[in-house]
Amino acid sequence: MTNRMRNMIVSLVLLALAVGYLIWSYASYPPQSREVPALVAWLTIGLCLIDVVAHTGTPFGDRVAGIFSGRAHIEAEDDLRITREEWLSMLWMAISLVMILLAGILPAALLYVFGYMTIHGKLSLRLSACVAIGTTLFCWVVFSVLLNFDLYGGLFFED
Amino acid sequence: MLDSLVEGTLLIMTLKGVLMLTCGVIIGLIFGVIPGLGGTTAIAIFVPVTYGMQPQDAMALAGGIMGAVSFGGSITAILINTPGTAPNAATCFDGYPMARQGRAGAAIGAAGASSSLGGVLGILLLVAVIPIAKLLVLSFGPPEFFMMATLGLVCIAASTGGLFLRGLIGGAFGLMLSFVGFDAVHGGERFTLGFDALWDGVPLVPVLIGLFAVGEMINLSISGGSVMRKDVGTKIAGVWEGVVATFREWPTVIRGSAIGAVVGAIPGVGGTVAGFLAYTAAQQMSKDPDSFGKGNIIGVIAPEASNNAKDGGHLIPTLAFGIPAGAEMAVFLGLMILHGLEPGPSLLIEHEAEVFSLIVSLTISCIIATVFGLMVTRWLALITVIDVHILVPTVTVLSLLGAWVLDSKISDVVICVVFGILGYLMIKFRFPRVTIVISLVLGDLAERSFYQSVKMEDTWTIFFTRPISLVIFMLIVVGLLVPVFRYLRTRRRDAIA
Amino acid sequence: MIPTRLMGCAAALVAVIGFATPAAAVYPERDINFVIPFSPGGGFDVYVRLISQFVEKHLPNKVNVVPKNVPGAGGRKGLNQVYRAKPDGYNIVIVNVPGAMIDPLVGKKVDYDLEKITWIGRLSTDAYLLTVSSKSPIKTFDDFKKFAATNPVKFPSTGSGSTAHAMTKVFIGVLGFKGEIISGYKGTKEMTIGVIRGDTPAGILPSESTRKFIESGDIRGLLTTEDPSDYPNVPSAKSLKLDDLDGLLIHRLVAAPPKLPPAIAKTLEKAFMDAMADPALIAAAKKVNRPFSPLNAAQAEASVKKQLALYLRFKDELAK
Repeated sequence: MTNRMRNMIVSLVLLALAVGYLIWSYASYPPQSREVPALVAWLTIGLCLIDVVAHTGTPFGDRVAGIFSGRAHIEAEDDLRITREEWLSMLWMAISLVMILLAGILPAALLYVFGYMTIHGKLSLRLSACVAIGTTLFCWVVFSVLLNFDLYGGLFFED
Repeated sequence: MLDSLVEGTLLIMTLKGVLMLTCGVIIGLIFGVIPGLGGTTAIAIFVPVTYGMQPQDAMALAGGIMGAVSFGGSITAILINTPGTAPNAATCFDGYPMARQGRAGAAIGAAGASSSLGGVLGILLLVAVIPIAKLLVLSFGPPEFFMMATLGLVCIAASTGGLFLRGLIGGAFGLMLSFVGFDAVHGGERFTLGFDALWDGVPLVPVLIGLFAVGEMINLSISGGSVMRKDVGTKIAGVWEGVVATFREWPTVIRGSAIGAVVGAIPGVGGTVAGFLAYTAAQQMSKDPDSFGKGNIIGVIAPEASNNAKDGGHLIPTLAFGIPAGAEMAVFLGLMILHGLEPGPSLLIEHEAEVFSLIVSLTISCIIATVFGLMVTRWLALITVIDVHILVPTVTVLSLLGAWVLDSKISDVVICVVFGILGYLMIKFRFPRVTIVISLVLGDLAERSFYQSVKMEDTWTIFFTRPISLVIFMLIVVGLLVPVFRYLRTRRRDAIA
Repeated sequence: MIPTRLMGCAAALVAVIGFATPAAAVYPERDINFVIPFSPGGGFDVYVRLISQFVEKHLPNKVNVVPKNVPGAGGRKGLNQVYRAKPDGYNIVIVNVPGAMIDPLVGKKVDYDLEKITWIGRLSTDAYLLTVSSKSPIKTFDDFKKFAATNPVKFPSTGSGSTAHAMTKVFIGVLGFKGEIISGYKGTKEMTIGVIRGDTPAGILPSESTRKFIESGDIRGLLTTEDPSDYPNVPSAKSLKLDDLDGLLIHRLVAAPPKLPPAIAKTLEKAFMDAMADPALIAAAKKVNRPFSPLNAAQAEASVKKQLALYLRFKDELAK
């Protein structure tokens, strides 16, 4: 799959989202409320279509792309394939969220920092433990003790 | 007026006053640095501390905080691409690349110097404008707000340069997001899927932290190494170089400050937009617009001057009418009322001295904040050489905590992470993230003002019959045409070559 | 030598008394959250912060009364939160009446029931004014009536479902002229500026935040719902024989979750009433122009019932 196709897929996905939003606004809301959102959705659809055209690679498409980017040549892009590295990094972010939801902020902080540093970063256990404890301690002291915020306790402990 | 200035200064030159000012500066710096906390939260937390104090000491504390927060926020923006407060978002564009190039010291130096200069200029403008403050505030009505909002949107998209089309698309989606929530104009919820958490709309700060901070953390996580690229020589020092550069680029400083002060004076538009507008203006007026976003120091100077000048601007409607120009001002107003300083037309007559003590402490604070901040820059800049695998989890935790702390809603944290992943995808597929943020900020204002304007005279020609509104409209047209001109210019240049 | 049986009875008696003593004897043992369902800096926020330190002074034990802002959903979020909290006296909330009444009256879903909530007392009230810009040719209420007879009058409001919107509708309904509401203003202050600027020919505004603009000459008040009128040149609705508008006020009340133990409620009530009688608070309130008009729990509850009856009469206007 070439870069151009990947870009095209992205443009089409966005187009689909905009159309979906438009349909949603017509289906669920009365004319007055949906006026401006629908207008914006139409505008977005228009822009997405232009984006699709700009990525077709035809001479016309290239000219359109040029007008909108203010330059006559399109720069080459890096490979747009999503690598395993990238999936992993995004996954770690999702893991942090799940941990917070389950265990609450402070326990999650401890586990997440430690886990990330040892597993993903492949750093020493001792360093990871130190940083994890340090970070959690900092958060606790500054936010909970000094500033008196309530820190999330996890889905099972909140109401 | 001059004797009030002297009196105001003397009021805070007591031991307690100076102490309060210094505390305020330190608090402001710290709250600025931590993403998610900011001036609004700081003032809100320290209001009870001021009970029983003399009004001028409370003003010294508040002035200290307000003057320092923006600079604090720029530090995180530069070092880890995370705006410490929303108005610092534009500083990320060139500040962070500078850090990656090993020039973090210069970036922070420039940020500090321009923050000081911008703050002072903003205050000078405030003092100059106070006599006609009322007239100014009354000249901007719903049609002007709508035009300003649209101008903001268009300018920001134009500033994304070669990514203009995708910038516009991002902006459009941002607008669609801004319509989520309770519709004040017509009543009724829109696009909330029944979630109570979305009743007030998609929250701005978690989205900001997610797109910029979390997204960048994912990015770093993949690239490895450290913030500062390995192939660059170590040049942490250079703080002084940054300061000197700021003075050298004084037209940018003045322009940025003017934009900040003026935009800050319009209630509701806000400092975030001012920062972006200043950045865009600097970029478009530069001889080398393409160097922006890659570590051009002017890209740090412009927004930082603007977001300190906005504090001066914010005070114009706040002091003249008691209309808070933003959330921070709203809390500050509460503080003033608590101390017997009822903002409004009579404030400047009855309490001129206290008002000046606020203004003076704000001025001094800008300068002291820079001095304090620069003293510790050398150590702060070391963050850029820390292994990314230590930095990423810690900053992520701090960012998510910042998202939680705002409103104690776990949905904010969820939104933060979701937008973080989205932010990374946007980096990868070369979509500017800034336009989503601006749209989210301005969408609500734009829609409300649009309806208000049309209903005021039952016709949409109102936008063109009011002089200020018409002028802003013409600026919008120019903004939309800029990329077209540039395309034609490069084509002509290529044809000649 | 005391017989064991008697000792046993005595011990049992002591134990029973010990357990039966309600927690109120030790209440309050820790900090009390005083929830403000609005953003910091607004009118309700200021009143809570003003009085909190004095309530602390007058509570039986030394604890803090901590103002906590819980804005969102137009005030419903904070109110819902406290309503659903445990009735242990550690969560109280400031309530906007009629604001909190409007949503249920127009059929919106809320978690609270104002008839079940525990009322502690009232902090203050605020009247409504019919205002015009001082640049306007309309100088008196009679001028306004003439103007309204020939032109539909536009008014600002914050949003459909807000107190401002509801009040404006009531005014229009009662006075019986053709009115149009331009909603979307961010808050009362913005509405006030809108009137001064001339966005709309008139506005219905709360008295307290408009006072300084009347004194500075930017705004002119045509009538007030408070009797006797607080202003030298503004007649009261009652004096203009507009009895329907008389007594239409904003009330700031303090409430706690339903089923609060009476002893705890009494402690809170006394603390608040003592605080509002405290000369230091009265002085501080005067300095910032935020007067208190106290009512105790029973009076507050009666006042709420009266307001509810009043607004029920306007149900049709509100629903439009």
